[in-house]
Amino acid sequence: MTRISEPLAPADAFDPEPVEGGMAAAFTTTDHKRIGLLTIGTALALFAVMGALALLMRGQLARPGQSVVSPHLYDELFTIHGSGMIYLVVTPVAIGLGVYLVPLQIGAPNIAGPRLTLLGFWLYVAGSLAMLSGFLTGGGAASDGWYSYPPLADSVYTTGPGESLWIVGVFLSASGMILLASTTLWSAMRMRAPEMTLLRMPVFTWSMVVTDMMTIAAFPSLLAAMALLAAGRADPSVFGHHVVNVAYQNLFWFYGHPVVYVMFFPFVGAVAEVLATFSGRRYVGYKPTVASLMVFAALSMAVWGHHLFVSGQSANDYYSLTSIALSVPAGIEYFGFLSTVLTGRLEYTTAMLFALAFIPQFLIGGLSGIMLGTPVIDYHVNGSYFVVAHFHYTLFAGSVFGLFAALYFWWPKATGTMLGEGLGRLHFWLMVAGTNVAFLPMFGSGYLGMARRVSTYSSSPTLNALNLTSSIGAGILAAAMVVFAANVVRSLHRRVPASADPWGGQTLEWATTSPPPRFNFVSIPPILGYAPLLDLRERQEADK
Amino acid sequence: MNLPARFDHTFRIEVTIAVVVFGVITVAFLFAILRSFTRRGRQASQKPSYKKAEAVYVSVVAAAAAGIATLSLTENRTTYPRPALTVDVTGFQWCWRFTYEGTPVTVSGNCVDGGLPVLELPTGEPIAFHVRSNDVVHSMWIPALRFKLFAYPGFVNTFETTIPTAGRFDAECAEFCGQYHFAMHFTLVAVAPARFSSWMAQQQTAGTGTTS
Repeated sequence: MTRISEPLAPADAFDPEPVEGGMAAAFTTTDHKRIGLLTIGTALALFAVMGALALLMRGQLARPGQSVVSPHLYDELFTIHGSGMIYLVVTPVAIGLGVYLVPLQIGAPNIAGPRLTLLGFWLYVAGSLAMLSGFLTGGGAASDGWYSYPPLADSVYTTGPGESLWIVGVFLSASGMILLASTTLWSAMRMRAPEMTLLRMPVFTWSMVVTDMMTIAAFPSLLAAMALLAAGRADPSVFGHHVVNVAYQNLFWFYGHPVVYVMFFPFVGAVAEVLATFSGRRYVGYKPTVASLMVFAALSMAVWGHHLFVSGQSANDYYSLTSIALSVPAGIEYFGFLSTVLTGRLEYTTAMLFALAFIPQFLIGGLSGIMLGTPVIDYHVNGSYFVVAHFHYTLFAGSVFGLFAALYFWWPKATGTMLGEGLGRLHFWLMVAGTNVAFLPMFGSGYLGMARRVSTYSSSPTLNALNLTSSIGAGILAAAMVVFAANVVRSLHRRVPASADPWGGQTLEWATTSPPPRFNFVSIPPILGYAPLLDLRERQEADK
Repeated sequence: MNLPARFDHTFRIEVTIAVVVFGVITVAFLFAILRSFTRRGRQASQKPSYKKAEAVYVSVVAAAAAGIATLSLTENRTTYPRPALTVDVTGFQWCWRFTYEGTPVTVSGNCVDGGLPVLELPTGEPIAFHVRSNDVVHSMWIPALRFKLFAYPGFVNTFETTIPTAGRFDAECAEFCGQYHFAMHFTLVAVAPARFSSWMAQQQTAGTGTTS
């Protein structure tokens, strides 16, 4: 009864992991799996760097009036932490997951345009090096924040090469992301296995399709903003015109809001896969979820003005309407999460714990987002720690938890070895504690009047207590990351081998070896739905 | 326009909605976890969708979103009564300058050295602020008024408010503007209109025009 399709490439193409050429081959590979893993690995290494910068900042802010770092160094820290996390960590790891997984999930032997994909990775590496090399220059790294408004960012108010290197870094890494997103989208559209119709693509692949569409639609606007900033650094009189300053802000946020969902959707998709697998059932409400992702992506292109509610230059009512409307597709995604776990047979693996925690934690980010979408509330909390709390609940309590769900889930597939569940659970509980201890107090400090991007604050018992609590949370998070690193090192040393399908997976990547061969599949099982392996198991049960 | 009252009203409603939504979803979430330890929780349904439940749920979410959007847009309506007083605000690296329009009185200070400018204003009267910058983008934030507005170079932004209660309030720059952004505060002192008038008369007879 099991139909086996024809092999897609000569038999010797399936030898696992060709190693000839060593390092040089590893870095010039045209295998989407290796490019994906290089991207994810680079992003995780940079994640550690950005986390260390955050720890320094929380050290400085633990008490008011400290001099752990100088005010100028503090500005470099928050700029590179924010820029690094957005341009060099979460976006690349989100898009990199797609590079690795999408061809596997759609039954393709490789990604479309593998050389272009490799170029995308190297542009990202070059951009990362450019941005970080600012620390080695005389004036230090860039210090104007991740959105770097002119005229502050022009060459009159920000001297030295750090800011220029930052512009180069953002431009290169964003260009790399456009290439990676393009080839992944191209693959999903043109390289699906014969029976893999669009509405049989797994939820994760759908989440990548909309992510890649948003990347292609929104990131060019960032390139334009960077070109404008570069022009203004060459000739600061450019920013002598009010309209140019406002144009930059709009060009920036036309990218700057969709990128929030670029850094979010792949983790919604990953969480959906993990929840379905460890609920032992199909994901509930597949079609509404796919539709909601599409609506969400379309709306995401029309909400950027809510970042400019306090500029006096934005049509606030319009952007409030579109921003609040986002809660409808977001609500549909929550229906999928909740009804899957409410009707499933839950299995508490580490991946599942991270996916489950994503549900209430991201919700805090989402609900506070509705408040920020309300102009009269935003007029108070914009530019404050309330906003810092909000986006760390979306990006850290949400996306990073989704990322760890993905890492624990797909680690055996990618490496052929298992991660430790005991250390995984310790990592998880430290993350839950650290995240909420660090970020929940920030809603309070922002509400009470603490602006973001300040290296100190006026001493008051409440503000001091809130900040100290946040700093303690940051320490707990650092401990959690050490545990994760230990788990990774132990996994690679002890090498507990992973089977092709250690979790009872539902999608095609679990139908090939761990790690998969060079061209992914020797044969592809029949594809009758968005959970083809589950369909197969059910039919085998029925045949018995 | 009483900005703090408007904020408090809207914020209270949205926080209530947020708490209810968070509560409902958390209850469902905890129910799923508790259920997983029961006999029923050992079986997984394979029903691919729950169309009726989802339709009802989406209608509720959409209705709530429509309600919040209506609240948001309604509260953002502004009316401009004729201001009793207009203050020209200039942000610069790194402090503030306030000029009381129609008078020679100007207040500034040196924020970086801790000499914060003191902006004296009357309570209960409509006041217009004309906000601009001399250099980079700043943002004038008066947390007690629950309001802020960007100060751009080469452009004048305007807002209008009354100050409901007397007191001393800390205010600050909320948009990163360079190395001493963290120091760019000022003090708002709101006093009864009669006291404000006598302060203003005193400033004008003092003739210096500038205090710090």
